[in-house]
Amino acid sequence: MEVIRLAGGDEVLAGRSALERAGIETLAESDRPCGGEVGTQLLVRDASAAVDVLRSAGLQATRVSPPVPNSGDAILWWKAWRDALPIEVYSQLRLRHHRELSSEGSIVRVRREEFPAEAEEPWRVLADGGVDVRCEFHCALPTGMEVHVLVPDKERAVAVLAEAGFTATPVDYEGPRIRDGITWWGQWKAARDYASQVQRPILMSFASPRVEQVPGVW
Amino acid sequence: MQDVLRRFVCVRLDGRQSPENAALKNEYGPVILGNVQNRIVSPTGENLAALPVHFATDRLVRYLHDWSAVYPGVDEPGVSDRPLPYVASTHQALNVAACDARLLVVIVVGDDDATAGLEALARPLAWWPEFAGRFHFSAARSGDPTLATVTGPPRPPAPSLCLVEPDAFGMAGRMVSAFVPGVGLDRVLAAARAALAGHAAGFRNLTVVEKFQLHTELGERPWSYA
Repeated sequence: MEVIRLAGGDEVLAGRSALERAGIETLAESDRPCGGEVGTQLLVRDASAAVDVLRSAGLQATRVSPPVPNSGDAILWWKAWRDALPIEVYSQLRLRHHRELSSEGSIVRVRREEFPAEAEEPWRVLADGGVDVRCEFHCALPTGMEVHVLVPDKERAVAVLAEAGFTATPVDYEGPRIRDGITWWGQWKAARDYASQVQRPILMSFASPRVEQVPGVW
Repeated sequence: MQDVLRRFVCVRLDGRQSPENAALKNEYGPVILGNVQNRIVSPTGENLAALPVHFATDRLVRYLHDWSAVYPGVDEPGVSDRPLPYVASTHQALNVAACDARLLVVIVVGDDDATAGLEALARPLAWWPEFAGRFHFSAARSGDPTLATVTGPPRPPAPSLCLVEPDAFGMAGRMVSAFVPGVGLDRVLAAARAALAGHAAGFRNLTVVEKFQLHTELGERPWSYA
């Protein structure tokens, strides 16, 4: 997925038509300027093909280099795309650019009850406050819903959220430690048969020994 | 806490590991964003209650004691008569061992009688107090592809009992000892103690964030939006 820019106004209308005639899908649009360059930006799967079509139609189209999300303008540019796209498409777009930043940072936890449905979501508040959200997990905990966001600067993120009225705390989880534990059964039938034999209750837990694509983490 | 949990049969399942586990997850739910709260289940499989993990520890222990009192159970059989608590597959067991900072005992199965003899040697590692909670267990056929990810000295022909130390992500491991039928229990126990000491000496305590970042530094995919 790549971003191209048209000058705006009539160019956009003509550009949409030209792309449609050529069978090129426009995934989303954004008017958020980037680096002082104004115009309407289109997200397409193949920028070269789209630009060729648009130039053939006599339109001024240029390819846009997605900015590194480390300045207020750049973060707002990315925010506009997150607004415009389904989250899975936005995730793909993020992963195509500046991958080196994707996993860097600290986790901040926000309790879901802190932001009722009508409130702004944390990622919007953070983006407006100049904080890039690099990863986001929605966690169903026994204590309620939490959103965990990976941000480059946890202190700044907490301050931005606090200013907007949210309670947020930096969080990390202790990894496994070597120590005595209990014996876990790993198969239901064997565990139930043994419980039946010894007439003891079962503590049943569901957990996956990987978090998304990172194995070896509960 | 561990004392009261030992009054329970504790089972941990991966809901994505098999259709059967996925069905269990839905049966014992509710499933909220993919997660099921820990459940208290009767010895016959009746879904009794959620485990309220937001309790303070002392209240949680009392809660577990209360359920344990409902099902006081009978004495457990002797160690030699208890089953080994196998994880469903060796691939998953390696993963789980990494999650829990434990070692893995792999029984590479062969002739039934000889395999049973090796399982008998492994039972103390599952049930003796000295070793409880320090190992996970799996059974594998000699052609199991996960065994190919285990480095170390040459593996003896099946059946064998292998002590494996997982890597940080549980996608590979290192065999530290292996035994064939006929070995004495003393040798297995000594090797287990040495393996635990070696594991502890080389273990890196990493937070989850540090572990995720290490994963990326090793060239794996960066995180992405959930």
